[in-house]
Amino acid sequence: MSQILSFLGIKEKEQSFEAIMSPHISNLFKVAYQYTGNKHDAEDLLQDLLEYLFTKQTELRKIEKLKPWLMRCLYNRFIDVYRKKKRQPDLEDIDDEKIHSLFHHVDNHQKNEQNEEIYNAMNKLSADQRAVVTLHDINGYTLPELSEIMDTPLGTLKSNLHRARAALKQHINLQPSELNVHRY
Amino acid sequence: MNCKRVNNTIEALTLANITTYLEGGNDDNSELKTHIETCTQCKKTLHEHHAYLNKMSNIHTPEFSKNDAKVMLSKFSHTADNNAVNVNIHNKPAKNDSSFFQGFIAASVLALSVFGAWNVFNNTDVPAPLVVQNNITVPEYITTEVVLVINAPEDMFDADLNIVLPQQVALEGYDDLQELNWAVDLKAGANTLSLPIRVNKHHAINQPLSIMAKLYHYAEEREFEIKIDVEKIQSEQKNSAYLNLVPKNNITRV
Repeated sequence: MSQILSFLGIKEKEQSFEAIMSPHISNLFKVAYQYTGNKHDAEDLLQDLLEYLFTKQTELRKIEKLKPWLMRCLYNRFIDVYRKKKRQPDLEDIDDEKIHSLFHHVDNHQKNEQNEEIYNAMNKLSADQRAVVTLHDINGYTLPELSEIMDTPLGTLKSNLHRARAALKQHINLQPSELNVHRY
Repeated sequence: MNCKRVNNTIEALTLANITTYLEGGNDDNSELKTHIETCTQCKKTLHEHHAYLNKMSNIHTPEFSKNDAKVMLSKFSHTADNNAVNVNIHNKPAKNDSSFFQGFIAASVLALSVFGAWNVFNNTDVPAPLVVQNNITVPEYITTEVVLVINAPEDMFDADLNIVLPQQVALEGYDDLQELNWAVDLKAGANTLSLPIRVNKHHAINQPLSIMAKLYHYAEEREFEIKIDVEKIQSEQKNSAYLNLVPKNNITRV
């Protein structure tokens, strides 16, 4: 259709930035929340991403598979924010390797003890580890998909995932007895 | 099948796989099944992993309300003409099609030169001591000014410049500072930054010295190694010396 319109010299009406982003905004916020661990920082991260994408509209409109591309942009913004915070120890007393105090706000959504336990444990991970756990174990992205999104070799991802899981299993109270095991 | 291999297999299983397996719905992997039936440790590992994945999949994430989404996106509303923007993002201006790095690699030539005189603090500059102490070595320093000239292909706002000095080099007036960070707004074209530095001549002689510089912009970073040849500086005229800039590494994250 667009080819026909183009052939006839009729310019197809472009979707607005708002219309392009609207279907994805909820999912982006969800992942941003899982990265940062609280609503305030998630909104900041999302706002930052939207400002960045707004300047990349021409590129944005050319992307065929928008969801993974947006995930990639969000991941890069998260790493960027993490790195900037890490380089400003005067403002935030941040450990070199961890983002422990980077996301310290507590909001109403974390009143649930189990969630708080998980988010606290995730705060102890490095940014890359946190991202791989968020996208793989929570959001169900496969490792090959993550390799594209995070621009990281599979081996590195597997290693990060293994270390992150080991750290999380230490900090999260896991009760195998709760499992409904019928037989092996 | 040994425990290590079983652990690797367990690690690769998804929550659905493990649940199906534990509920007896999957008899495909008989080797795994046989091992887990007989190995207490691996059985425990499987249960733990299942509990972990179960917990992670049930993590609560608040919904972004439609109203919040609308408010946030409304800041970016604009007409069909992409240039008609009614959002204040002046600190991060719109860019053209080409990515930052394509342009940056092509056009960025970081030239470094040294201006101004360098002075050797020798005994003539030091006030005459009241007591002659032959065994005290007077430190000798070379002071000079390093001027970084960064040619940016386009306006690069909110970039971060990080400079790490070697031990033998200090920023004049800041002896203890080995790492420096600046938030810089680079304009398209040449951008200059002057750094008055002091090189300890005793420790620097016959040693390769490098100043490491990193430029961060959005998710990309560019690293440079600025080599300082002390002997060359000394051999040159006192008011003209040149340092070589060698791009060392280019780390790209799209």
